Amino acid sequence: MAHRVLQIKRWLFTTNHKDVGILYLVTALYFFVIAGTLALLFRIQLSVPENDFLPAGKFNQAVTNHGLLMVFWFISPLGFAFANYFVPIQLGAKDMAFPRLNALSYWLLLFGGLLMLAGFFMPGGTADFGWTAYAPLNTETFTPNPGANLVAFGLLMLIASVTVGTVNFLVTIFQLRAKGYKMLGLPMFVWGIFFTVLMMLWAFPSLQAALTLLAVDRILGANIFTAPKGGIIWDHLFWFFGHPEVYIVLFPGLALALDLISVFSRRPLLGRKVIIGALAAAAALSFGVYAHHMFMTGVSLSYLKVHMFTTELISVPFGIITILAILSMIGGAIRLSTPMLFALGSIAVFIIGGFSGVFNSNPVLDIANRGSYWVVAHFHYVMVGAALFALFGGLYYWFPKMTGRMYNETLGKIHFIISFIGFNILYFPMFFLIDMPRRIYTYPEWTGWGPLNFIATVGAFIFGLSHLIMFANLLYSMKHGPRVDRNPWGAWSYEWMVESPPPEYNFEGIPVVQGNRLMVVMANGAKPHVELHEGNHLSPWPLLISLGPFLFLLGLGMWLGQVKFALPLIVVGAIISLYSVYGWFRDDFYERFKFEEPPEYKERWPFTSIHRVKLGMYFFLFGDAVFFAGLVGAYIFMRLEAGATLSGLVTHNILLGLLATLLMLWSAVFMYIAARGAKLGDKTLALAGLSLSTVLSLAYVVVTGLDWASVFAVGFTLADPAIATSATTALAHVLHLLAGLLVALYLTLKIWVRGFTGHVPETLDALAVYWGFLAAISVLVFGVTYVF
Amino acid sequence: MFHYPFDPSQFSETARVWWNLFGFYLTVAILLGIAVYAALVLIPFIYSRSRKAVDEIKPGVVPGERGRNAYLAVIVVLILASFLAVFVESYISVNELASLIEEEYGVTIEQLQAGEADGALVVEVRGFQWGWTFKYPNGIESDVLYLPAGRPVIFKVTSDDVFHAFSIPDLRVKVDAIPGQVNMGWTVPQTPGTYRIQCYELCGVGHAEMISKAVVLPPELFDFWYESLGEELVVEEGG
Ligand code: HEM
Ligand SMILES: [Cu+2]
Ligand SMILES: [Cu+2]
Repeated sequence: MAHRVLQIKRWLFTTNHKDVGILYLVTALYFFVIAGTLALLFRIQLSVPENDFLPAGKFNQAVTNHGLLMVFWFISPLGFAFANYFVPIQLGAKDMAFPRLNALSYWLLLFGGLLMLAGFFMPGGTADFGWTAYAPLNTETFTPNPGANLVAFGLLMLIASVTVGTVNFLVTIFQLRAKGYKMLGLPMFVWGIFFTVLMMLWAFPSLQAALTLLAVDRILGANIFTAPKGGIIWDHLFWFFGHPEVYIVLFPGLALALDLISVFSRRPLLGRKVIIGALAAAAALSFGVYAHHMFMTGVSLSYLKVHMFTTELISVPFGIITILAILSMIGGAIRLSTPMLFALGSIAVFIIGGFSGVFNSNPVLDIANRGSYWVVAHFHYVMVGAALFALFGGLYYWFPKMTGRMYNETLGKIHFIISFIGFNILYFPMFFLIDMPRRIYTYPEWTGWGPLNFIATVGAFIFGLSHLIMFANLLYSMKHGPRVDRNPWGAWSYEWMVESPPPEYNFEGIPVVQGNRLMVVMANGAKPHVELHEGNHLSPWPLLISLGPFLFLLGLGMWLGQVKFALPLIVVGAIISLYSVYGWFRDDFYERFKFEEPPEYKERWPFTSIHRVKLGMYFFLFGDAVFFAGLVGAYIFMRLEAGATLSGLVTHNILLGLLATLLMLWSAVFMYIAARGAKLGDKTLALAGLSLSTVLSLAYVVVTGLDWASVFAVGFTLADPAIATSATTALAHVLHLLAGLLVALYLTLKIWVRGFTGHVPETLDALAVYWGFLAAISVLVFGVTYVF
Repeated sequence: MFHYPFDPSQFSETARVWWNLFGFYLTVAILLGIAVYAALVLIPFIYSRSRKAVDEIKPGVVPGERGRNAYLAVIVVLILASFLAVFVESYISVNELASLIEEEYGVTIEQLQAGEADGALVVEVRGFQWGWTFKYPNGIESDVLYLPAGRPVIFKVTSDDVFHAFSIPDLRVKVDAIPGQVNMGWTVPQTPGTYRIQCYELCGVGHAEMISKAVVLPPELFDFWYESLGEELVVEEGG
């Protein structure tokens, strides 16, 4: 009994990266089953013409949630399950740079997904506007379904999860490598995750901006996306995110396939550095091609040509990666075990997916492809085919490491063959349905689309059900498979040098790399790492700090949908949120759980001397800048393109704006002084700086509030899209500031009572950076929305 | 009704350009595809049996750098070259699409973008939840699209409510219908007959039913209809 309680506590409160990885894995597979079931439902509906299995509304809800769940709650989290579990080990680290934030990422992801699912149970149904959620279809006017609010909230929680995760992975990869471990020597999987999180860092804030504007429309009754041309803003913000997102989904799998091919053909990759360079090029280019999703929106011909060029260009790095992966195998002692089969299958379908993408890149050809089943085939070949096959290969590959037992090889191969065939029966016919629009719930008999659709549906069942073989195989082998030792595959990277499953802190010694040799050394026969952490690393706060917003947003969504018992949920959610923020900071986790590895054991190039908290802050702000750029961009678009004629000069009192900006600037200066004080160990200086900064920030909030009150007092409303977008920007800024003020308040109290303990100086240092950023944003906001 | 794979080039000028280009891409894809798939299948097949194979992966040793030689460079150059070929061809075709109508019908790209041109028929297309209306210069409004064969047609497409995508797939016409904005599309229908018009952007529960028909008439018949102010015309179905 006590044991069971301990187990439950472990899984709820864990901050260990391997436990978090397992949680990610189980959650991802859970959402895979749900989203897959939805897909089978709508494939039944489409199998014959004029079917009435699912009516239009239900069909659209199924398609929409299928897409969102698969992309955001299945494929990406599956990649990150492995990333959580294996990246730290592959680097030679004990854990992630911020273990508690890592757990937070997980819980935000889970609760975000549950919010999504809750949408189904709302009266009036859930989101039904497609995963791309085009505006203005996604607004209250055209989709009053209350569940749609929950979907938007779920996505916002997911974005929070992703943001925390990206920062964590970047700092981990940069600062927690084993001593002597050069970046270039890292496994391709780590490189794949590295580029993935870099793309996430810049892509997701754009979606965040779009969803924020949508929330303002849907909840505060603004008129941003329903304004003439307002939908175009959604297009830009969504696809600036959306194109990188498809590579975000692909990269972990693609990189993993490269590792698998190398290990199972017993050959180093051909042109490793070229491949890394190609990944980098594709990641960078991915931000400059997104308009290929907008070829028909009336953008100018020259703009089309630029994006046609960049889109075709992006096929060059992918071509190079594919060819090098194939040629790497020449001369090797190839073993066609299940993981290898999946890796090769992934490359095989990626080729078709890539070629069909090149067809799409041409605006003339795209006349046929856009919005048709050709595109559906294209992106399933790359996302499902390339990414999912490779990740399932990874699941088989790492299964013995995670469980200490081997799966059944024959069943694994059968799973591969059936799913590969099923996959192609499912998606290949769709290339021939190039004239069938996607997302139609039915089609007339005379179109002649019936037979191909029927074949696809048969394939869907084969493909879908084939995974039961995997589930059965793995579940059985978890308990009854033959035991394996450390390195059943003869692979080279760090995870294969530790026990299966790895011990709690991964290494019983200090990982060190000399030249190209990975080693774990014992310092004088002692086990220094094990002695370092005496405290336990369980923490309830990541769970609670996610549960609070979950309940709150669920209540809010129910309230908007006029469902009973909404208010209690809102209240309880708010209380838990506030209390858990307090608890999070009260709990000196990093002092209690001394997990930090001495810097001299670590390779930290190129950020050798910067503290991880500050480094994390820099990364976070890099992403956050995109969020504000998106909001400000929306305002500029409204003024320039959508004919919102009233300039900020007319609606605002420029003097109030100037005063507010100056207050904000001085507040940042004092925060900087406080940080200096902390560095010098000067308690008075730090406290003086902190409190002055706090007062000035509060004054800023008040002045900004007054200014906006006066704008609304003269009769302007959110119905004016220029007002709505600039008000959203101001609101976002103030909320950022208030969040920062919470931390400032906490630091003030802590310094006052206990002085500079723990990481207080570093945290204050990072906070000063944050304040500087907010001051810069306030200057930008002033310049754009008051003057322009 | 014909279906893909098929050659739509007789139906309209845009379809002809599309088909030529598609053929080119498909040829390149198939040629490259055969080579790549051959390698992908043969290499594992051969080397999973080969006895001379080497094992260069050692536990705990970062795999070495391989392939600092000429054939890496060859691969890169080959891929760049095929990229350039595809790019140049498609660039020309995009221009072709715009310049074709100028050479053959005397309508310039500026006129197309402005949506007014002598000799071209300008139809205003309005999408709404869930249907289409077509408005002709002389004021006729119709929910069937009548078009003359052999004459450039410019579509000025907009929407009353949400995004739609106006398309006559067999003629290779597709333009987004966006509220607050007028987008231009054009084609030159060639073969009289009845064609499917359908919406290609999810626009709500009625999306699947947003189907209409376009009837391409011989020029004289079209003029007759046009002059008689769009009385319902009985044409023989075909095409
Ligand atoms: C050679 C590389 C690729 C090229 C040139 C390419 C090109 C394109 C183009 C031009 C479109 C727009 C088609 C349209 O909507 O009309 C498109 C759509 C799409 N591509 Fe790719 N693509 C490539 C690889 C990938 C990869 C690797 C992924 C994901 C792993 C991907 C996922 C998608 C998705 C999800 C869409 C459709 C989005 C939607 O409308 O819902 N593509 N691709
Ligand atoms: Cu894209
Ligand atoms: Cu539609």
